[in-house]
Formats: sequence, C-alpha cells, structure tokens
Amino acid sequence: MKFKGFTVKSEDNFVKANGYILTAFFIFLITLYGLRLYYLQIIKGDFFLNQAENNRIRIEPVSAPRGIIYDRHGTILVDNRPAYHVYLVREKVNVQEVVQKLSTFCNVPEENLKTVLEKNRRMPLFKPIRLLSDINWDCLAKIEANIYRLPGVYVDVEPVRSYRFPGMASHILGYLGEITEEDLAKPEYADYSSGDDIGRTGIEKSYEKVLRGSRGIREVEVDALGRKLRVIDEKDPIPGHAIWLTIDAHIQYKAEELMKDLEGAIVAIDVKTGAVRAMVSSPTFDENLFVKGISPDDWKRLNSDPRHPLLNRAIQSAYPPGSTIKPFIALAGLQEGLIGKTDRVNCPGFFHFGNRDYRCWKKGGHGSVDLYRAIAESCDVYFYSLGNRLGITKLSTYFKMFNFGSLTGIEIPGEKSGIVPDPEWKLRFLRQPWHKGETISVSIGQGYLSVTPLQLAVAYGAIAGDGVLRKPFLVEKIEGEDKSKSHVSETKNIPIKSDYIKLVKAGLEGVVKDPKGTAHKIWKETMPIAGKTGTAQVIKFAERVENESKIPKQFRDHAWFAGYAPSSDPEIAVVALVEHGGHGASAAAPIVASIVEEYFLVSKTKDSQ
Amino acid sequence: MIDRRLLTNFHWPLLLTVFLLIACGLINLYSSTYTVNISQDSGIKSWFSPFFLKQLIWTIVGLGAMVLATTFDYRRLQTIAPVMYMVGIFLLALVLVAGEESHGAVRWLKIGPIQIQPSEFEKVFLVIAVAAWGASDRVRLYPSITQILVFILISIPPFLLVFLEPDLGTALLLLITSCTIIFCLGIRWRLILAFLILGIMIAHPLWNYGLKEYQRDRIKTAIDPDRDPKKRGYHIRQARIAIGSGMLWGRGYLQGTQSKLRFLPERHTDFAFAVWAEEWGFAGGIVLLFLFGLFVYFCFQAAFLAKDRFGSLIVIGLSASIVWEIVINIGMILGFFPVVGVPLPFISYGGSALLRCLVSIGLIENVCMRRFGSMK
Repeated sequence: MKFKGFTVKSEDNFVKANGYILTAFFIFLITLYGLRLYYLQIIKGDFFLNQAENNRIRIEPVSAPRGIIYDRHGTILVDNRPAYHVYLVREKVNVQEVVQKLSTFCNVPEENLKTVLEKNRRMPLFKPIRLLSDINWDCLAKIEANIYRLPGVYVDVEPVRSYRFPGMASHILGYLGEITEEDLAKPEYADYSSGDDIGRTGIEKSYEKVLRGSRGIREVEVDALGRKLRVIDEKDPIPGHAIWLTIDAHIQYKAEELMKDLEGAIVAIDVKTGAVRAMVSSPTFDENLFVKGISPDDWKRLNSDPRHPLLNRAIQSAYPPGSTIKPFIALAGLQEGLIGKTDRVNCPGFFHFGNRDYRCWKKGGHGSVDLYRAIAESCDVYFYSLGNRLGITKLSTYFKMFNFGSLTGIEIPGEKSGIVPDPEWKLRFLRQPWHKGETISVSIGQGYLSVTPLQLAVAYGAIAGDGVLRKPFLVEKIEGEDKSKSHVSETKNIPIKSDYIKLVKAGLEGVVKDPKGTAHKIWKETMPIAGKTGTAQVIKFAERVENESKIPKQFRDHAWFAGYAPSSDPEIAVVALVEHGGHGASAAAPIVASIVEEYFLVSKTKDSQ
Repeated sequence: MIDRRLLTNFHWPLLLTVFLLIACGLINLYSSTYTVNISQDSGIKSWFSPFFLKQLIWTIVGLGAMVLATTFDYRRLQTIAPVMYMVGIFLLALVLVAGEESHGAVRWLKIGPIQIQPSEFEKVFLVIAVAAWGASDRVRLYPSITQILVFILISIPPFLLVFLEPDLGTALLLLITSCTIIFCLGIRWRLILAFLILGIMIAHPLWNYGLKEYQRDRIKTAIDPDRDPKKRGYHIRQARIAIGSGMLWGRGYLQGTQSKLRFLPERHTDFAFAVWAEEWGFAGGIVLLFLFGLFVYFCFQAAFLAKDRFGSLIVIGLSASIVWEIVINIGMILGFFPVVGVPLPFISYGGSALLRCLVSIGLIENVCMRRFGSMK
C-alpha cells in the first residue's frame, strides 16, 4: 500500500471529462424539457386548454343480452332481438331544429320528443338523452340517411327481449320494466343504472341475477357534438345465462287454447318429480308490450280490465275448492278411524244440523252411500257428516299436511297461501268465535277455505304419488350450473296409510270410470283419468236458481276439476279452474281431459324421437 | 462513530433538494389520487386516499433507512459487495418463482401485508457490485477488453432476470446504469461502437429464435403498454392536453380536469408529472425541473468530491440510476421517448422505489461525509 499515494496522484477516481460530459448531458436534457414545457404551456397553452375543455369521453354501457328461456324440450320461449334507439347530445345543437326533423322522419309528434327532453332537462348537456326507443326500419333508414343534417343525434343498438309466443306462458315468464329510483338506491342493485330494465314478475324477476348477465363498458372519445371519434376501450358484456323451464310448450299451448275465452287457471304437474308442465292463467297478456317500456294507454287498459289479465290466477288467487277437497276429508276420516271402506251413510238429500238443513247437490239424495260412491258421486251429505265428526281442528290439520294454507315455494313471485280456517284463525282475523255450522261448509270445500289451483295440483299429485308430496318447480336447468344441484326435488311423506290412499284413489277413478261418476262424460278406455269435480259457490246456496243459464255470469259458480292420469300409474296431475264456469263436470273436466290427451300425445312423440 | 467532521461534510443542499422533491411528490400524489378516493364510493370517504397514506408511511420508513445508510463507513461495502450481489440475484430469481403477478408481469414479492419490488433494490446492489469491481486494484482507468468482459458478466444476470419478469424498462435501466459507471471509468469510442454493433447482432437472433411467441408478446407489452390499437397514442395525447392546459400558472391544486375526470391514465404513477404540470402550470413545472437540475448538479458534485474511486463510482452509479429515470420519465411524458413504464423518482407513487431512492441518497451522503475521513 505504500504506492497508494502515487497511484492516486497518477490516476483519478474516474475520467473527469466523462463526468462533465454526463452532467452537462443531463442538465441539457432538463433544459430541453423546460423549453418543451414553454412550448406546450405558454405558446400552445390556449389550444390545449380548449382541447381539455372539449375533451369528452363518453362511457357507454353495453347491455348484455339477457339469458334465453327455453321450454323443457329446448323450444325458445324468450330471446332477444336488436332494437335501435335514437340519442341526442344537446350541447352546441339547435335542439328545436333537430326535434322537428326527427319528428318528420319518424312520424312522431314533436310534443312527445319535447316531453322527453323536458324530463331530462337537468342532465348535463354532454350526456346523451334517449329520444326515441326501438324505432322501426323506416325511421332508422331515414335517420341514417340524414345523419349529417342531425347534429348531436346518433343511433345505438341494444338487444331487447323478444317473447316468441306473445301471450303464451306470460304469467310464468313475467315481464321487464325500467328500474325505479327507489330500487336504484338499494345496495343489491348497485350495478344497475337509471334506464336499465329489471324483471318485474315471473321468472324474469325471480331469476333476474341469472338472466341479466353483466354489462360491458365502452369508452368512446367523442367530439363536442357528441359524435363518436373512436372507441378507446371496450369491455365485452357477458350474456346472461339461459334457463330451461320444466314447462312443455305443447301442453302449455294446448292449455292456453282451451282457456282462450274463459277466465281461470290450469296447472299440470309431473307426479313423479313435481315439475310443472303447464301453468296457465287466463286471460293473458302480451309481454312484448312491456319491452319498449309499456305505453300509458296499454298499461291503463291492462290494469283497468275487469278480467285482470295481469293476475296469475294459478298462484295469486285463492278460491274455495268445492268438492275437490272431499278426497282429503276422506283420507282424514280413514286415518282417524272414523270411517271404513264399507261404512255407509244415508243421504236423504240434506243434512240436518243445529236448526238448519244443509242440502246435498242431488235433490233427491243419494240414498245409502259408502266411501267409493261418496267420492264418485260426490255426495255432500256423507262429507257433511264426516266433517262434522272430525271437527274443524282435525280437518285443518289434515289440510295443512297437504300444504294447503301455505306457499308451495314455486320459483315465481307473488304466490298466495290461501286459507285453511280454524277457530284460532277466525278469532284472530275476524274476531269472531267459530260456529260448528261453518265446519260443515268447510267439509264440502266452501266457507272460509280457499286454495290456489297450484296448491290443489300439488295436493292431487301427492294422492297420485301415494302420499309423497313434491314441491313444484318451474326451472329445470340453469346454464352453467351443475344439473344435479339445480334439481333435488323436495319431497315430504304424508303420514297417511297407503291403504287408505288406495281407497280414495279408487273413488277418484270411479268419478270418471263409473257410469254414475260425476265426470263420466270424459271417460275413455284409452286414457284412464282419475279425479274429482268441484263447484265453488260464488253466492249462497239458498239464493240459487235451478237453471244455471239464467244466473248472471258473475254470480255463477266456479268450476273445478282436479285429477291425474293414467289412473293406475299416474304421471301427470292436472287442475283446471274455470271462473263462473258453472259445473265442474261440464266446464272443467273436459279441459283436463284434453290436456291429458295432449300430454300423452306429446310424451309419445318425444319418446319415439 | 459520527463525529462533528462527518456532519460538516454532510451535503446539506442535496438533502434539502431531496426533501423538497419528496414534498412535491406527496402534494401531487394527494391530488392525483383524490378522485380515486372519491370514486370508490362504496367504502368510507376518508380525507386521505390509501395511496397517500401508504406513501407517507414509506416516506418515513425511507427516511429512517436513509439515516441508517449514512452511519457506517461505505468502504465496508466493497468487501461485502459480492454477498449483496448474490442476495440481489437470489431475490430476483425468487420473484420469478414465487412472485405476485399483476398486469401480466411478475414483479412483486409479497411479505405479509407489504409488497416489495426486488428489481428496485437491485438498482442499488448492482451499482455497489460494479463499483466494487471498478475500484478493485486490478482495474485501471480505460479498462482493458478482458476487464470489460468481467463487467459484462456482472451486469448481465440481473438484467436477464428482470427482463424475464418482464420489466424491460427496469432491465434496461440497470444496464444503462452500469454502462454509465463504465463510461465514467473511461471507455474508448471505438469500443462503444463495437459493442453497439455486437449488441444488435446478438439481440436480433435472440429475439427471433431464442424467445417464444408469448414471451415476445409480454416483452412487447412491457415496451409499449398500449399495444392495443384502440389505445395507441392515447396516453401521450391526453398527457399533452393535461400539460398544455396548465398554461402559465396551472389550473390550480386539485383542479386539474384531465386528471380529475380521469382522462389521464396512470395519474399517480408514470404520469405524475403531467398532473403536476396541469395543476401548477409552467411555473410549477419549471420549479420541479429546476429541483431536478439541482439534484443532478449536487449528485455529480458529490462524485467529484469523493475521496476514493469506490466512493466516486458508487455516487455516479446511484445518481445515474435516479437521474436516468427522471430524464426518461419526463422525456416520455413530453413525447421525446416512447412510453416505457418508468416512474418519476420522488414524485410517482411507489414504496419500493422511494425507499431505494432514499437509501441511495443516504449512501451518496455517506460517501460525501467521509471524503476527508482517513486521508489526513
């Protein structure tokens, strides 16, 4: 190390000249940057400030196509079609002139356009306003051809819902509506924005999350007139998932045809699984009306229609079940040991209780009847007597076993539970004590007792299925979901001896098969149906007139038929309700027969495929 | 250990400049993340964005590390330089094996709640290693070809490891930094020319045959993050509008529309300078450039003042790594260079980068403080 001093002297730490060069180079660059800043900010400053102020990036949502809804065989029930909307950016535009032109091109009154503008007048000027929704081809062609005479106007395309069979299954499918301000404020709708459609009823509502998909985003650079200059960034929308319903379009269609001019409901359920094959509520409505945002006139018409087309009678209306309740009372009696197969009751045509006579529907009476005849011929007196012996508490316990009085849990919203009355219920809701005479009314499905058509179908499915009550369902499969997960059908075993169920089933078979049965008119050797007619009174028994057709329609009875087929090894349970249809045997039973016929026709052709 | 002489030799102007730069950085970060904060509406609105708070913590940690870096005699680093070099290589290799992926590149190591970027620290390790080599007794000014080959052997592994992340910006910066040291150590112009030609000859076949398609894609993306044709040129155009609209006095603090309305991408990281220039105008821009100029001047002054070659080379290397980043970043924003992901030292958001810059300052001060130490 003794030479160190020498080394240092002869050699520098580094090449100083290069050090200077480097420093000078850096300082030079930084000075250059300063000059550049001077150029950009002082010389061109005004220009860039102007650009900054006109800098408009529009973030456009790109709607995701909603999930397609299929029937069980893959027939498309709902999908999407393109809709063209006209937007206007008002900034630097002579709005009056544009509105005038659009009005002539599209044949829309100027006032309508002005109303829309008025509604959005507080929006920032550079935000596009949708002036016209879902314009027709003629209008689209005229706008596109004259787009340069329409400053601030542009047309955008969006997938919208298209219901392939207008009016068919509309209560199941439901419809869409624009999301409300209240909903928008809720956290669960955080990813929605004003103007978005949301399912309002039916599957569209309950499967909103599945069907909706997620919206894409497009960042578009626009000029001061709102015209697109270029797309800066794009995130593709993710389409909603498809849903396969349990509905069979053929059966559904047939059922709708049968109910065409009637009011009422039909429910058909697969006995083995609980899958709903058809669910009709009549009258129906065209879901497509809601697609563009329903017009106030259409809305008013639908809402003020006395026939209530928007009401889903299959699940949202509860009716007195009438005689269709009798098999359940018979089961209660058998299980409780109050009656046996051969026990007989004499029916003189009335049942005397308290100081009143409760009449049987058959004037002269049925004479001495056993269980089989009581069901097959629907003897009221037999059930008056049995109901009276059981008492209301027992009756309601058995009704509840079959899920009456509670929701079935079907996937679409708005379901009603109906009423299974008992003294406690009456005290609570009517603040009156229970009268024993009311038990007698309940015994033939009148009085306070009410059920929905779906509930009745589920309960008949449970009889047909030898005491296994299955939760009904409408959704067979959801795209992207494990099939096994999507359907484990929920079942409940009803604690009634299967021998008793067999006895009742024999009676139900007799209703159709037995020449004396109330619905023998629909008997066909090739298509053995078992079931029960029912007539639900709308007005009091005593006030009734003999000749049905003389009664004004709104006072006529509701007609029921609930049954299943084939009677030996049931596959499908069907319930038909015709409001003010008169007798179950004449108004409702033939409908059920036609549906069963269609069912076997369809299942045979589908099986052979 | 620290006597009064050390304090008198402390380069106070450099420290003051650095403090001013850090202050500008925090002020700017607060503004550039102001909307980020508000737009995350779902959470709680706080006065400080999480970015700002994190950076504040890193600043304090960094200042502590800077002080630590001045406490020992820097010459000890020469003996442990090989160890530091190996640690650096190990960490870079670890990133490739167990790093956190983000935006298609693996750059971070996650240690508990914090993420560190080893390539940042490699900038210090490599400088120390190259400086230690340059200061070893065998090496003279204007080193021979064989000695330069040794230097290349030292510099290539970290470069490759960072290149594979892929982080081409940082990889090139490592290379440029060690080249700067070599440049100051003295190199003949014809050698520079020869290496340039050789480099091109190697790079071309390596690019075409040595790399797989996806690797090339990743590297292309690293070079030009806006390869998406829709976005090409967009960043730069928006940055220019931001800067230009600042005019003389700027649009006012927290008032920049380009950054607030989110036209400007990477506001708080690579494009931080544009936010600054938009809000503080030409006046503010010049002040910041002037501070950077002072920083360059003080750093190289320290290199000239150092008492031995190791000290000089460390100061040159560490300064160069920071100054190159400054000129590349601002040059890119002003449109002189293509867009490369290089942050602006002291101003851009980034904990590892700030920590490494402050440790570098500490080491530069360390060299400065001891310039008369044992040379009595």
